[in-house]
Amino acid sequence: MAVLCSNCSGRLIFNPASQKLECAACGSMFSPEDVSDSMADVHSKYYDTRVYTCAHCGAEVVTSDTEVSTFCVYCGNPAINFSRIAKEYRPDGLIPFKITKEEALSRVKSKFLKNPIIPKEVKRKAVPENIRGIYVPYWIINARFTEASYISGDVEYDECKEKWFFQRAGNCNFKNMPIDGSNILNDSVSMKLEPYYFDAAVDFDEDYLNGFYSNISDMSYSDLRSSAAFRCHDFFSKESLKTVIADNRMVEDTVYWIDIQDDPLYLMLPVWFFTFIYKGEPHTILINGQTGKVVGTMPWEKKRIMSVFWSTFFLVLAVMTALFFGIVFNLGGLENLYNLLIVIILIVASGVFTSGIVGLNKIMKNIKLTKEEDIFRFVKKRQA
Amino acid sequence: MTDMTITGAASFNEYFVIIIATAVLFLFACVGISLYITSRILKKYTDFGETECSIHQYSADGVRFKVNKDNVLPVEKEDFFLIYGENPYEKIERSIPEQLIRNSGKKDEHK
Repeated sequence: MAVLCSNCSGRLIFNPASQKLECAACGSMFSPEDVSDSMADVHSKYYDTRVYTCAHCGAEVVTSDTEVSTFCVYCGNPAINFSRIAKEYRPDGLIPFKITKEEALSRVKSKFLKNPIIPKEVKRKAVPENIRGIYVPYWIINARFTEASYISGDVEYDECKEKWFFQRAGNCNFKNMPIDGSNILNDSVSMKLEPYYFDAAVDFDEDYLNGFYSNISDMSYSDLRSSAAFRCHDFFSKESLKTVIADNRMVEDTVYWIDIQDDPLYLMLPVWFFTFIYKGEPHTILINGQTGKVVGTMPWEKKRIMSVFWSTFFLVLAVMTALFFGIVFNLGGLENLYNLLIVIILIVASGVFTSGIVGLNKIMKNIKLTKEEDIFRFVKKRQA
Repeated sequence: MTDMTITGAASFNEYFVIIIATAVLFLFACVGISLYITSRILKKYTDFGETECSIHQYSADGVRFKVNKDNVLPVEKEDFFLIYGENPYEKIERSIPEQLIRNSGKKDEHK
């Protein structure tokens, strides 16, 4: 339902800076609660939306009646088609955008403007046209959770290591835990956007959607249960492992159950999406619309990274060679020192090699999430 | 003379092996340190946003452990899961929001 200015019939857009609806034509400002809805009775349970479908990733983008979508907010692809006008269930509430588009853009820019390893092509894409605000559906749940785990770990006993087993079982109550209600957005990405502060939530009013996109929750109750249970299990396991004093702690086996209490809240939470295509691949960086937290992995210049790698390699080689010859020739005869040096190098090298591989692996996983998750989800959805 | 030659050859081989081993070790160390520094740079300059939430964000009282046993036998696992492995919420029925019911229906239709 289009919301028009009572003074000039111009289009009203929600401005996060003033938290009011502003008329693009005459500049009049209205509080969203004060703008009357003539169809309030009809809309008590549903609200009108325009649904667009992305031909590339399959995402459904929902806009208010006044907004027109020109590209997919998830993958940045322009192949987006108007699909249908739909009546959707009203969410229970939403957290209005606090961060403006300009602020979101400047937060992204601050991360890479003086950053030499991010390609110039990507920097040039940080323009307002590539940033879209979208209300993402979340379920806010209260739940009871029970878990029993069998944990193993290495314990030092009489100067030798022994493998011990540990039993942990217990329960935990969770309150106001957000679960991303959109299947297209990966949970591990949406979790990074947290925290959201729910004291800023207001009752749902579609006037807040003006100027933004929104998505509807497409998960079923069993999806919600499994997402919530997995999240609680993650928290619980971390706490269980903390109580085990051993090296190489590992959950060997576990069983867990969840009881989601009645009427989880259906909330819309604000997220800015910065989407761009680099080397033919779509990338999405997210910005929490309430706190401004930036989440995502930027592509990098391979040449620059390789030059960093080789510069470090030769620098370290030069330092170690100098050290080595210094010990062998200038302090000749100090065999113990030589041996000590070799042992130190071996330990340090093994440690940093492992950390380096683990770190690189994590970054590669994150960039994969930034690049391919929507397509992956789409394929999975079609396979179901 | 023969003895000296043999001793000389043996010590040359020994030095050769030590030099090669040291070179390999140095290369390994250089690759390791370079990899580590590169991954730290990538992490700092390209990877943004980490999960900041702990259990305490969503649970005021945290985990209440009923069982907290150390150094148990591997064979006790079956008994443990027999006692504590039952769903305590099995018989509880909950009301489900309409949006989730509708989504379940859509999924079933799709199947």
